[in-house]
Amino acid sequence: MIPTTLIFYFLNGLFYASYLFLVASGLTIILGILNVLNLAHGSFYSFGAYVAAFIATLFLNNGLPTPSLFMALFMAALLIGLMGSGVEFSLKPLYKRRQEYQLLFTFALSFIFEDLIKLIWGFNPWTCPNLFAYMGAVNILGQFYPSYDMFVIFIGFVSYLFIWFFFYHTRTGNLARAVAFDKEMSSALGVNVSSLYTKIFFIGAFFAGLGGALILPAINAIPGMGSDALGFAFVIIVIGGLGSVKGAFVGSLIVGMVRAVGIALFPEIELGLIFTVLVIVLILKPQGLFGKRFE
Amino acid sequence: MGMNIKTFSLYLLVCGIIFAIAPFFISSYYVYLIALGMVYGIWALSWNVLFNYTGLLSFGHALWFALGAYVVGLTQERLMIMSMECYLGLTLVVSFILSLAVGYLCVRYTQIYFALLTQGFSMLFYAMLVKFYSFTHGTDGISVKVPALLGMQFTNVESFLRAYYYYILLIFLLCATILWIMMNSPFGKSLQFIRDNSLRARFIGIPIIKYRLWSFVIAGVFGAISGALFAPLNRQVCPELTYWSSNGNVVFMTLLGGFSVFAGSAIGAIIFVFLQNIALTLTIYWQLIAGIVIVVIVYLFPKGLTVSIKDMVVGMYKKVHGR
Amino acid sequence: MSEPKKVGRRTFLNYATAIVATGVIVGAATYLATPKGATTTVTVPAATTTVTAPGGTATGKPIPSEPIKIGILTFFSGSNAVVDVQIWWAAQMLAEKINSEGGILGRKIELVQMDVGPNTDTCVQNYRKLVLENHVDLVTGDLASSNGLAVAPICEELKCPTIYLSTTTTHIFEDVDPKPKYLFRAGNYNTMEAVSCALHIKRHHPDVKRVAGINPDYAYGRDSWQMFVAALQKLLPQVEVVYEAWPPLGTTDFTSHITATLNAKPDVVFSVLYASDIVAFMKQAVGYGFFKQVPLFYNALGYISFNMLTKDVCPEGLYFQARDYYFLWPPAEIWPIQGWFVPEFYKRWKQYPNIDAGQLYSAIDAYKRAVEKVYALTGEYPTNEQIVEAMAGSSCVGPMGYRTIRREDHQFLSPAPIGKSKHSPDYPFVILDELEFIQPEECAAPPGVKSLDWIKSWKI
Repeated sequence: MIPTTLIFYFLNGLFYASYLFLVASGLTIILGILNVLNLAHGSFYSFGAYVAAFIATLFLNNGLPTPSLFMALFMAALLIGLMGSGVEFSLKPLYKRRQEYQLLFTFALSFIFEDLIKLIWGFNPWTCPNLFAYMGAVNILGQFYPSYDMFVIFIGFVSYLFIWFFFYHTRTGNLARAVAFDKEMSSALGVNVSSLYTKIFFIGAFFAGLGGALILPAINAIPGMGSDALGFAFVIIVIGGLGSVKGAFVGSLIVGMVRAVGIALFPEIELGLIFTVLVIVLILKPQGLFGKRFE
Repeated sequence: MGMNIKTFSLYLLVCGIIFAIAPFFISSYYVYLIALGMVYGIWALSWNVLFNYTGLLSFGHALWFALGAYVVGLTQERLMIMSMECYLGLTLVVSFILSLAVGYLCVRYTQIYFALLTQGFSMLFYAMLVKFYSFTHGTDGISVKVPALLGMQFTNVESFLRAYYYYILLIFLLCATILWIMMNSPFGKSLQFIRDNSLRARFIGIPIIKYRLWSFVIAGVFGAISGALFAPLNRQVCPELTYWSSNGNVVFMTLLGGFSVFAGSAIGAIIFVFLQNIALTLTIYWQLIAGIVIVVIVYLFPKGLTVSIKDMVVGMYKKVHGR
Repeated sequence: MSEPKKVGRRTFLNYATAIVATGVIVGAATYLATPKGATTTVTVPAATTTVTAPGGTATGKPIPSEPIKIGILTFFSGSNAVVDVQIWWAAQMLAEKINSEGGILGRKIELVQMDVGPNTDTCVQNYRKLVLENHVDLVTGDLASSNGLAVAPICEELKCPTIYLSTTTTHIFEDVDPKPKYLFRAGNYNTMEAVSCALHIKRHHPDVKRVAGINPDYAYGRDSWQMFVAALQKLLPQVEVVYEAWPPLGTTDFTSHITATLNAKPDVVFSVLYASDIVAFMKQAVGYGFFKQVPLFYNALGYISFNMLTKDVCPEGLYFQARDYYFLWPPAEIWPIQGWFVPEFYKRWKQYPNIDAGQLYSAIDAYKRAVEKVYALTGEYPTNEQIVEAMAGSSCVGPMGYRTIRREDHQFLSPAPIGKSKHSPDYPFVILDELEFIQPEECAAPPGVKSLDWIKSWKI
């Protein structure tokens, strides 16, 4: 039945877009405000999944009921936020140097984090299926769709609203936009740029970690998942415009839908699809849909 | 970095002699590793042309390495050609054309965009190598048989390896010389000027984009040559050669050796091969070690490891002798 | 702008330090990496073309007293490590057992552990190291297809007996090394997996018409799918391919592939997803009610990581082809080796032995038999050349039963098990029910014939 299938492709694309948005938004926020391309951002995502698995297992072993696992996901995201702040601290000495050094540094961090995951959690996939099964499935026009996936889509939207609210209606958020616009001036006017940077990194990492944690019940946590997500995040922020959260949102939707449709209609192109899109967009319209200004 | 040609020739000669007599003193296994180090050395030198001399950080240099390797593999398999010189010639031509094309698209951008774009191309090449399965054998890669060097056929692989070591050594010294001459020519000096102050360079009338493009082509061609040399050594070429993680290796090598000095990346490449070799026998967490080493270097030795060691030793010498 | 400098003391020091530093690091590396006790040989470039076999201590002389060194070259890092570590465990168990019974002709077995490393070139380096520096007598382990293809010619050149385990690509003995001397393979190879599944479908579900595939997009996935479809369409001409999904290796999100496959309404889905891929796929598929809508699901290789196929992940009624060894067959009552191997393995490692572990047993057993056979015949300890000649065309045993080793292409063969997944209260993972064994003659191409050609030549 054509309409039913279309609905499901649409939902699949939305699902994929949702957790990718969580990763991409953090990446673009950090880039827009700090002008740092965090190549270790994928590690926040994968750590989010693993830490969530760890906390969830802890909860389950102590007999806590399944709904408490939502708490576990959120806690994991908070911890990853702290991890982000930690990364920012280690970046501080490098700000006055060439931008390449910061790239190299975050690049090296991604290597370290990748192996830390293997060291701490081993090579086996970690799972937490309880939440996924707990939410059951909805019956849409005769075909089942997991409710948990709907939940992920919901959180994706809510996160976008939260980010928008944060940057336009809170003091820190407004200051952050000011710093993105003109760092020297803002600093001269009394903004503590350094602590602001730490807070922004916290937020960026938090959302990436949330993405990883959210996705855990639906998929496994496996080594290497971070670089996968990062690759897609690059494409998303390039499509949307480096530094633009609205762009990340729209970019995620585009990438999610293109992937879902691609797999359905042209399954062969899946492997090269995302990098083809990256190269094409970079060549044709490198500033993306919404430009470089942070908005 | 001013060294005149006499000094450079002296060092080249010394290096050449040391490497030429090495096989008489070490086992064939280590000879193999040094050969690999020299191949990677050419690759790292070419990457450094972009990074240190032009100020462009490329995250996609593995593309050229894989290109050279696959030119050899495909030529041997499809065209039944066994001559190493033929491979090198073909590699020169193919890589020149391709680096011109890819470079044209890439050098209009700098920094983040350039890095992302080069990585994108590298992964695109990976996808093509995997996808065109019937042509490239996909992830299995292509088996490379022992080629003929300067017309000499080798029935015995051990003798091939011995001869190939010297072959690689010669080409390594040749490439190092050519690259050094280029980087110390007026062209090379202009590149560095562009790197440091592109606005002023433009005012003086230096065609920035065109020069960057030539730099890209040089890097691409020499990178491909190193890949072509790699193929008969490893006897297998596969798509992983252009995967994004391979790009990390060349960055690591150059950082190890020091990018501000011409020879730094080549030295770093040789160190890398041995470092990786020991590290793998001691631990499986090779990436962790590589990452930590890069972090330490970025913090403490921004000019690269050997350069900084040299600085420290020279500093101590000065202190002792009061000069 | 810098000016040319003359050769001064400072510049000389600069470069001398750099060269010395390199030399020190290289020297230290050489020293550290050389196994203690082994001497680095002085090689003088010789004019002769003969090569003295560098591997091991096997000579046509009385029995040496040094131990037999077996190099285990496999993935100790990377995602294959969880599966391949069992090879190391099985090797340890077996070596201890053989040593406690006197070793091989009195020589004890000593194992050397070597990681494949992150790329093919590290694999090649480490293989050379095992043979040239560690002087092993035998190399075995699980390599990826690309690694296996790279090492194959080197194995023949270095003349070191090598037994691949699950490096099952057809290209090794069909393309790269068609007349192997020193290289063997102990794992039933890809053709057997794909064809046995096709045969099973023909025998039990001959009325299928629509087939779909969800396979990882790399050489193994491509080859397996190609052979499966060719075989199935030969056996059941009415079959048509309605959809093929090609998720890259390591995909975590299969939702779009699931939806697209369901949309094509296949009668049977064939998949060679394994390790974490199959687990992720199943988890999501169950959420979509995939297995309720698709009547038949065949998976090859997924059972290599059966410890991950827990009851909550994997439903009942799915067909798994378990390559050559299923840990519950043969039962211990009729096959004593299983009576020792399985419980002992579980006692020590808290896991049941997988396909690779079973293959390893047969590999070492084959080597031992060959050595003993030649010694019994000639009264002298065999050379490597004699050992491999004795192994070819012989037979051996493993936990899976008897195995034959083809003379022409050195392929170990045993019947291929296919079973249906079942939940059992005794095990946390799914076990296989309704086990059926496809004989090698039916699913392995004859030596010297390429698999795809063989399938296409079938006269049904």
